[in-house]
Amino acid sequence: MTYELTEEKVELINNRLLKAYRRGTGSIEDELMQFLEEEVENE
Amino acid sequence: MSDWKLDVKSIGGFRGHKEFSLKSGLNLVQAPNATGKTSLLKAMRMLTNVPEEELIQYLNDYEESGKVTLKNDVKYSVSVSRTKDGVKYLKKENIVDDSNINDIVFVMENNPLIDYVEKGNEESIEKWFRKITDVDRIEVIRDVSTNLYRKLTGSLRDKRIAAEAAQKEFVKSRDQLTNDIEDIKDRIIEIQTNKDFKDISNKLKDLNGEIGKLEDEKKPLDDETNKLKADIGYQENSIKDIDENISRLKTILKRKDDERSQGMDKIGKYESDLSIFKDELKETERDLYGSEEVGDVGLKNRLKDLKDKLNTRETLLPYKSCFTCGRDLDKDDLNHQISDMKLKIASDESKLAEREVKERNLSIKIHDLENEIKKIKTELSREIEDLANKIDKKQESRRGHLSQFNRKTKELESQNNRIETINAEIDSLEDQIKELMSSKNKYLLDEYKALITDRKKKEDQLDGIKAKIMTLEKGELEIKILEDKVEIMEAVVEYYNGRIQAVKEKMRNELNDALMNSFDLLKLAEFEKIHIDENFSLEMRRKGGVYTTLEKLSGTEKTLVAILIAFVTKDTFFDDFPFFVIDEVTNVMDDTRFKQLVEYIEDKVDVMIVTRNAPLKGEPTTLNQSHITHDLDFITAASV
Repeated sequence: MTYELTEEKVELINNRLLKAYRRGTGSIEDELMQFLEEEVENE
Repeated sequence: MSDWKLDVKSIGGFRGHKEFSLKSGLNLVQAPNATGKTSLLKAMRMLTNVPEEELIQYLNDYEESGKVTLKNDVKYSVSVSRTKDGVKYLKKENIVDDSNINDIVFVMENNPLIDYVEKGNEESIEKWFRKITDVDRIEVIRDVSTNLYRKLTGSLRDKRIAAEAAQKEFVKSRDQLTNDIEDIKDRIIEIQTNKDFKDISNKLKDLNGEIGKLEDEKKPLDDETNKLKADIGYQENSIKDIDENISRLKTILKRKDDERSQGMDKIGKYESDLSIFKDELKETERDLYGSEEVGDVGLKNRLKDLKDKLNTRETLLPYKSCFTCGRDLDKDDLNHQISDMKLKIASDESKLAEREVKERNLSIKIHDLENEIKKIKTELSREIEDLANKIDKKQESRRGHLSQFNRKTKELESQNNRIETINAEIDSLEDQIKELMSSKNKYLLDEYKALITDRKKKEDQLDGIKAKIMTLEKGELEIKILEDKVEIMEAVVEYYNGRIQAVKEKMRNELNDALMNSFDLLKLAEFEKIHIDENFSLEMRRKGGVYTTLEKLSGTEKTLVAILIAFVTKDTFFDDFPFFVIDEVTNVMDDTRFKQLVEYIEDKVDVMIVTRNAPLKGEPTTLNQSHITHDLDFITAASV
């Protein structure tokens, strides 16, 4: 797989991680794992 | 631009509606203490998204709901309501969702930046810059992402090593087993083509085939034998049951017969008693009712006559003479007769009662004896007859079962003979097999059998290895997914690393440009340059390029630096936000510097609000429009 972090994806992950940051640092890794699952499935 | 309308309802010390008009540029709020300056600023602060848990400090203590609206061409509005747990937001319009804005547009005593600058705490100022520029958050996200990337990379490496080792081991085992099975197959073919083996195995096959046929023939016979045995057992049990039954019935019959014999002996005595009782009864009846033969009227009639006579005597007693014969009556004699009669009547009545009881008792005895005789003569005879009939029936049934038992026993004997014949034939064939197995070529058979078992065992092992290899292939998919995740995380980490640098550079440059643009203001503190370095440290140079630190600055200079940083930050990050507030911190400044500061900023923000204490004149009044001025002429006048 050749993965490209497009501008749309950057905006998506930025928004999700900002919300996770507000919930607490522990939520960031959970959000990233969720993002990875979705991206692997999409790719 | 037209004036801004600030509408405040029930916030701080204000109850009900309060309206203020704010002009573009400077709005100087000068009022004595406790008139409402802080309430006005509280209302403004609510437009910068105060955390909900702090709203309780904003709503007026006596009111249930409050609202703040700042309106010009754009409308900023917020409304709140009291609940049982505190105060919550009802509606927000155009409120900036950024927790930093409050620290930037409100320069007042509890502002952290003012606090850090006044204390000369450079480390906290660096942190403040990192927070305001968002670098702080991006770094946390970058660090979490990097850790996750390392975890995934480590996990991927471990899985690859484990998978490779397992794959190698399984492939080696698979190849070895495949070769072994091939060798076994070759040897099997070799044995199968051997002439001796063919002879011996064909003979074995024939013998086993014949044994199989005989076993098949024997099977239904065995089944039939079992059925016959069960049937014979049933007949035996039935005969046993019937014998027990007959024995029991005979015992009862004997007892009944004995009872009848004893009864017949008793009947003679009963009949004699009966004759005596009947005679006694007859005599008693004669006493009671009389007898024509002997001319006796009986006790009952005599008693009746005596009572009639007594009645006649008692009737005559009041009279002097007899009204029948006319003879004079002797009263003493009459009384004597009556007395005797009464005694006689009492005696006869007693006898009568006695005779009547005797009569009843004799009747009962006669009835009982007659019943007993009847019972002995008829009922016992009938019972004995019934028992004899039952015994006859049982005997007949027994003969039937015995006949069945004898017939089935003969059949069983015949079946056993047939089975024994077949068993003898099977024994003979097995002897032939034994002879064959003890021949010199037996080793071929043993080897063949061992090879077949070994081949089956190795084929099972091979299936297991193949299944494990397939599981490993599934593991390959997991590794592939993990590789994809690592690749994605690599891109994410790279992005955040780049973003931190870009944000730092951009923000720092913009802030530094804004600081240098404030050159006029810098001159107030006799600075030549204020600069934020790459670590967000504050670098300050006085005229002539002499470096200085926050600790060395005077109180006024520190206030100026704090206001300057807040202002350029607002100008850089929240340029569109309409107002900038300086609350009383300038009280320490001299009028000239205060005026220069205000004049520098007022043109660069839409609404500048500056509050200052003013001396109390007359009675205190609530803050109103008259407390807000828009020029600094009074300061000029004061300075002159």
